[in-house]
Amino acid sequence: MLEIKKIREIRTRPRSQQLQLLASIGFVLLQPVIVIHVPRPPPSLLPFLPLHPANLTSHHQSTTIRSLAASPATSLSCFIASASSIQIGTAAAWIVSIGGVGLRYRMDGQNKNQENKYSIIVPTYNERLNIGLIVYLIFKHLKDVDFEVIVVDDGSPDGTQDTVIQLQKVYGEDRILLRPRPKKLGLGTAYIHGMKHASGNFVVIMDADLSHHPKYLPRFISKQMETRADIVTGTRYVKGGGVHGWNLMRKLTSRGANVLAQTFLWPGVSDLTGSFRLYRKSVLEDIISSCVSKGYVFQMEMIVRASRKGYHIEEVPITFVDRVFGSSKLGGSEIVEYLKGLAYLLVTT
Amino acid sequence: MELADRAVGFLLTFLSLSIFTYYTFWVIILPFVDGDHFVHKYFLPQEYAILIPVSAGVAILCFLCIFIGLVMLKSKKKRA
Repeated sequence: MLEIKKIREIRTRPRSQQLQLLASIGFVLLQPVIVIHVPRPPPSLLPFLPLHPANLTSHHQSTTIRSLAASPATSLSCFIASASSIQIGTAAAWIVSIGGVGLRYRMDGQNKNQENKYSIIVPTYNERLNIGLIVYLIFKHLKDVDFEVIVVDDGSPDGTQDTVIQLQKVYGEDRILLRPRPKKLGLGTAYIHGMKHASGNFVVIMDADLSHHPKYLPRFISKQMETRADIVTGTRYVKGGGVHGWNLMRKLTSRGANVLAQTFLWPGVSDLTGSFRLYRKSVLEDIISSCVSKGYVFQMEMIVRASRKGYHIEEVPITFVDRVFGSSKLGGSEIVEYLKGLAYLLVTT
Repeated sequence: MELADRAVGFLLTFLSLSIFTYYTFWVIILPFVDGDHFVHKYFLPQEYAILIPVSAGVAILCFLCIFIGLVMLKSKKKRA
């Protein structure tokens, strides 16, 4: 039951095995509770409760709680023994895994600054007012980095593409690539489309509505170079990160959704629905080919699948600024869509 | 504005911590205490330690199912 290898790689196991392990550990730990509240279990059930005092001692018990508590030493010692053995086993497993993680890094020379090119994919729809600002900020914060900006526009009627053409005249057509599509076809396909034209070995995805500030990009890049991670996510739920412009209900809903996803999926990251991420290009291709959902469940599915496949994921705290113009409402149907996506992920990953 | 949010946060944390300690005391420590100790006055009879969480869980599940059902009905009506 306590194979150390299983505990170390528990994050990468499919959900059914994780639940199995959890159930077996919980069963051992719950024995004292069962002892206290079920003073005389039916005789057919006794073989399944190895730590019950009725199994350990040979004489019969009376039913009062007092007599059972008369041997608190037995139940407490059983509890402590089982709990501490599991604690020690898990601690040993984690110590071994941390020690062994140094062997996991591949010694490739991929992390000198001059050899990395970053393709920033920005899917846009009606972002005529924001796209110039985003491009200016990216160029301002990434001065010594080799990068390109790929604008994937879904046929915006407000003239976003004309703005991008003018920006291309200013910054050069090799730094800003405009790859439009005829109509709104979805976020996942926008990423695939952008990746086809990406020439860098790292891909950054971000929103064009100024909720993701480009000033965090240097931090993403340096974090990736320090830790040689495959994926770097921006997280709002770590110290130093946060949201701005949300009322209390929205914040509570977002936190509650995250807690729910953490309980059911064990993803290994603290923010599942954030979409400000840096991927190694090969990793992104691998993950996108195995994802099938749409909307923000797509973001969740990507990071959960990456976690199950064992990729190295790091986090950077970011501040998410809610869009100033036009509020995105969170109605009942979004909540139900989220729950359906969560159930799908629980069963299939 | 932000201060009000933090206040609500602290209130929630405090509430959940107090419920947790009360419940832990009730379930784990009280059975080992003699039946005529005065502390038993402050706690409900033992059955409620199981009844209350189970009924709360059932109520939450019912509410969840009704909510999901209503939303799905509404969306189907809107589409039709």
